[in-house]
Amino acid sequence: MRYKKNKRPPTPLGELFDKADFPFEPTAWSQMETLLSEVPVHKKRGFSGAKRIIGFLVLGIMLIGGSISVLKENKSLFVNSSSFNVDNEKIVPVHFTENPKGGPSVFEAKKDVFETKKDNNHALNPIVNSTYKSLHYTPKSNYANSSFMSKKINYSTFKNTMLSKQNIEFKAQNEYKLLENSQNDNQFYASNNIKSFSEETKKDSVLNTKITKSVNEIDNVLTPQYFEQKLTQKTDFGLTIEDVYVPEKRNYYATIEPLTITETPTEINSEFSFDFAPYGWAMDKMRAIQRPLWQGKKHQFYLGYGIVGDISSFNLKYARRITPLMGLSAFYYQAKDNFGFYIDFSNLGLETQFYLVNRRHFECVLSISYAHEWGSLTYQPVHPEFKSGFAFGAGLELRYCLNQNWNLGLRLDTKKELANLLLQLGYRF
Amino acid sequence: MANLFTSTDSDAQLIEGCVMENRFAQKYLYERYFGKLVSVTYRYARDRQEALDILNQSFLKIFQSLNRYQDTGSLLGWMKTIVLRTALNHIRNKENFVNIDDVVHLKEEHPLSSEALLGFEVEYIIQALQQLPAATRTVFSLFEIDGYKHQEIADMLNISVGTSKWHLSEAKTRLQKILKLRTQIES
Repeated sequence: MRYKKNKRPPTPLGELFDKADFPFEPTAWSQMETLLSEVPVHKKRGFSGAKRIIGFLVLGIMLIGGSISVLKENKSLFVNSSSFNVDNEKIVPVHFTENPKGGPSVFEAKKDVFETKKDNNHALNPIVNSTYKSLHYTPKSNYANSSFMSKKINYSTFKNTMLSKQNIEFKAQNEYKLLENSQNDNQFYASNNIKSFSEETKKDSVLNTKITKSVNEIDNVLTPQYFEQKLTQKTDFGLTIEDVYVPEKRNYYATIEPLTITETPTEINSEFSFDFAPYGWAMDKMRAIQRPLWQGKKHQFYLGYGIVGDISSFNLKYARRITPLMGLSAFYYQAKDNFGFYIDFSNLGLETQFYLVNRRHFECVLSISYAHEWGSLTYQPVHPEFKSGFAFGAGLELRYCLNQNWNLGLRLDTKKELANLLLQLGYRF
Repeated sequence: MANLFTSTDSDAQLIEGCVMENRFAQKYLYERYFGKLVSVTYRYARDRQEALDILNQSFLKIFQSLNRYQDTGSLLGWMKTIVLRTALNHIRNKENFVNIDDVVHLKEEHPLSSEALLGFEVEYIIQALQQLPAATRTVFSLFEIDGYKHQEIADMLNISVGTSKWHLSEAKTRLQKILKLRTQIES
């Protein structure tokens, strides 16, 4: 029904009623106060029931999917990370050492890993000549069980990279080594390669020229000392030539320094908070999952999502009703253990919060949020799998209302040790 | 909650306080416009309590809508519009308006003119109105007090124009009897 806004001329009776002014009745105001306490003046912002249910279902599916993938990938908390950290920024995930006693080390390289296959087309380079299928390890710890450790180091990739980056001098070095080895223990192998080398170089005049030149310079340039230096120089893969060139006859074993690899886990956070606002209070319990999207040496991005169970007094009509609210939250950027920021899209963006955090030893959150509440007290137990013992974070957040919708907040959370790593989604009612 | 407002604050200040959900500001605004607005609800309600119920429902809508209020016109007029719509919604939900197609019964002469009521006090007129049936009272108030035309009333109450006219005639007839009786008693 639309009412016409046209101003109509006042009727005599209308003018009489307009002049009337009845005295104020306090009882009427007391009834009004009751009404105001029962029905919030500002209706709860958010989507309608149907949209909330749909959103809740979507989030539920995401949560379930995430949980399944977590369980499927690894039962430990160190799961399914598409990226990984290397301690002290050293990219040395694998380290080969010779076992002096000849017995197995922590991770014994399987014999077939270093299977050598004769390839006369590449007889020039003993590295090329060897087809190292891959490096397999027998994991004996959770670290080795991680997704990274299950990856194979494909030698073909390595080979291609080496060939593309190494000049002919490198090839010559290996030839030199081949010759050196052949003199010591495998005359037949060396002679066979030299023969192949000669045949190969005849086909390729350019290569022939280069090789010839290099070979001629070997005695002058590539002294044994220089060669040793080259052998121990690390490549882009963090491996030395010596590491990769493992003659079959030598008894080499691969070992791993387990503690050098750390992965940023998918975090499962729980948080309990008591929120207070001008018109009531709320208690909410949050369960959230944060997955690393990408993590570099100094930068990392996360995506978090979760659900919140909420009991509030904001609406007495529905008091003590458990309200599932959307907690899709937090596209998160963090400069490693230092400052970062995240955007919290709680309640499907209707309560967006921007955070600036420093979470090294404590968490100080400066937030500007689109929400009503004045502040909250937060209790955050650490997931028990995350660290033996029990750590917790407790926080106090105060917000200053800039206007009806936007608040400027300051939150301080104390942390214990690994609790620093927990990323609070900051969901607030 | 600290009381940052006083009853002498301007409408704009109280509105700002109401938007911030300050209870004191709400009370002062309520108190300021109670008398003017309750006179609207009195003429549509059957008794005082119903009038207060309608008024409080109206004020709730007013508080909820104040953040959208643009200070371009009369605040009282804006509030009166909300009160009137709330009253009509209340009546529509409660009363069943029946079309009276047989307009033969419509009296040709209206023995009571609206000017005749001007000699009475508002409280007196309200008491008389509250003795009328809801539909009749509503049509009379809309036509004679708020200045709506029969076609508009018919649209608002979802009745025919003839029915609206009949209710107006009926209201005047009944009011005349009530006032005559009252005059006799007083004399």
